[in-house]
Amino acid sequence: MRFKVLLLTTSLFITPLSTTHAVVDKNLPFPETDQPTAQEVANQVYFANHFYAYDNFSIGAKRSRSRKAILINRSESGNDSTIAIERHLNNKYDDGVINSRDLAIFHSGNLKGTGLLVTDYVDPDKSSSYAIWLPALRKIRRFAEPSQEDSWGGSVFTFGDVTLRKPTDETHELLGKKVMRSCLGVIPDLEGKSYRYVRKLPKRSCRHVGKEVYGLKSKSKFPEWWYDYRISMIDIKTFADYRTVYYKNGEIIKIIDRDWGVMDNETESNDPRALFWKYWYGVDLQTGQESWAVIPQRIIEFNRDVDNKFWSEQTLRKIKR
Amino acid sequence: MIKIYKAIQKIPVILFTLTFSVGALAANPDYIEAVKLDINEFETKIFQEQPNSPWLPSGKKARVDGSDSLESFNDFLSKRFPGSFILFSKLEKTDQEQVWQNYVNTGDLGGIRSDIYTLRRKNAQQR
Repeated sequence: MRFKVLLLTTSLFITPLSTTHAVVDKNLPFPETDQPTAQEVANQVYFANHFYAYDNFSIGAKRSRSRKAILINRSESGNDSTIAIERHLNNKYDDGVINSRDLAIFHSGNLKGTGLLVTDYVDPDKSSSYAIWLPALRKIRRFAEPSQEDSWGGSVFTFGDVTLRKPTDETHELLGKKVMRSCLGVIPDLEGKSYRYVRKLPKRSCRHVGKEVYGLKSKSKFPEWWYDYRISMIDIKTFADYRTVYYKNGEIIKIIDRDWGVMDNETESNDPRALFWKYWYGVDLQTGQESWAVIPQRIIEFNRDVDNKFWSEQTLRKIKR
Repeated sequence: MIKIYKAIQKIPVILFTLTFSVGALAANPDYIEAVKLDINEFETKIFQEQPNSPWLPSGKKARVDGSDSLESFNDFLSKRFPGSFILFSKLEKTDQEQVWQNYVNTGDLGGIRSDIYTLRRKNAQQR
């Protein structure tokens, strides 16, 4: 059970890379038209969410005891739990076998010292492989890929939400364009407060208000799924998906907000889809649960000169307890 | 007496309702209402301004301070970070634009100072 919690929890921070299939080309060009189809928008969002604009992307590469990415889960009863995580992703593989690799290390709680390596393959029929380093046993354990509908232990995000959902798992419809009107969500009583690992939690992000966004309605192809459809608000310039609202029987059941930033001034390709997120916020309206993942910008690095060997089980074995 | 008795009978229902309400919705109701108004605009094509909502600022209010133009960014820096402004004003205009654009894209106040120092170091090395 603990391993499943570890697996589920880590997925948020390794989301972009740990996909079931290489269903979207890593070299997908930015659309030439300003009127893309719904499917094209879905593919572009997938590209952005999976950090394909980068060779590698790290959260926590810079050694810092005080700064880490964290995930706060607030239960229905109002109790908070916090997990601190370091994460490294690598897209730079050209062997025709591996599409990408993600490595994550836990720095707090019962999972402190635990590491996870996820390998995604070019073959679309081959599932991702998961290897977990168990520090107490000094062993690596391997797991099969979890189900999309599996929910997080204590989090409002599902595996599908953060990593496994593919553009082909849904049918898509464009609802048009409009400007974004509302600020992104946060856990209100923690907003702006001092907090371990991040020094201070951010305030609600209102900087996307006024930006033009597509509305993309996506209906699941899975029968009797946990949601009927979802509507995403997607930046027309960067394909950052700032908000996704999930519906069941005509009612809103869940909201996920993502505060995206753009790094196109620094990446060689000047790709507008070269994004990073500052925080994710989610609320389950059926249970009242909330989750908030916060990533201090200062611990983010990308396109580092690092050998592919770093993303290996050997690295997992070197993790200090 | 009968009125008082009937009122007392209602107390458990009221308490139960309050308890149930608090337990079922931990998220801020103003936030949820703002999300509904925002997302419904795709269908209704109508949006009613909500001046009292802390989750629905007007477009102007919502923009990051000093982000509208390089001039407004200059003004913002000079008032908010006078020390950084002195160093910023010594940068070439292209570098100033880069610092401003990075701030617009990220909203990160701490990044302004580090961007300025990075560009100054780079320029010093190139001389």
